[in-house]
Amino acid sequence: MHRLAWMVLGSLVLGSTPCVAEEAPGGWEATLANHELSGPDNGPLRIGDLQGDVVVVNFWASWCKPCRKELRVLNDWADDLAGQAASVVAVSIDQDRKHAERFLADAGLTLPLYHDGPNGLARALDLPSLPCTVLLDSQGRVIRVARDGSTEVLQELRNTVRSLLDEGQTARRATEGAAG
Amino acid sequence: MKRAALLLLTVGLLAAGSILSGCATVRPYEKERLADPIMSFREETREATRELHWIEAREGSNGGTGVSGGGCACN
Repeated sequence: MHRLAWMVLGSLVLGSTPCVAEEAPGGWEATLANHELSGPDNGPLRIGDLQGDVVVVNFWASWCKPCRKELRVLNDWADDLAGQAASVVAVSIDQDRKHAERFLADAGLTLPLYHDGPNGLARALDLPSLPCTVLLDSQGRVIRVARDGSTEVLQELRNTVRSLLDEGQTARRATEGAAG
Repeated sequence: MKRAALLLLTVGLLAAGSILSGCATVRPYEKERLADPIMSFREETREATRELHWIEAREGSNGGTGVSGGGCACN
């Protein structure tokens, strides 16, 4: 009887091999900075080229309902942040660029479309969720990774952007003061 | 006889275990096809969406109809 119990237990242990676990983001900064995204009209973009700006990188897809909701908020952010040292980069991971274009047009969003497909940056970073929003500071360091587009998370992210911009302004003033 | 049954049971459990362990994790960025309404278990997905929209408009209600995501492992 004992032998049977051990056999059953052994079989269950063998049978319950876990599925692949999520890994914590590592080496995202270099990957994000160097990957070339297909831009709207003005050619490709490397996020590394935006160094000096606070950058909000949002990964979205037209088939992802929460992404669509979040994108409207980010569109407003992009409008608010215009003229400041900040950029919002919305990266579509739709297989077909046309789906993303159609969604942006239908929703009346003005965010420039950066298309990368599911096998580009998303796979290179092994994105843990969708939507996924990454906040980079002016030196290109990853400050936060927001894995969902809830109002609280977005508000917190917005506050962080604001404080990063304030810090940047303070630092600039101090440098100018020291130079003058 | 008892031994044969035991062996059969063990082989059966091992087979079941190996089949169950063959599950693959679909990463969030790989779910485009899974998120397609055609992948829904319900046959009349589009009809159901139209009906839900009509009910929401009539009742002023929203939600309570299942998961909110489009199969993208979010929320």
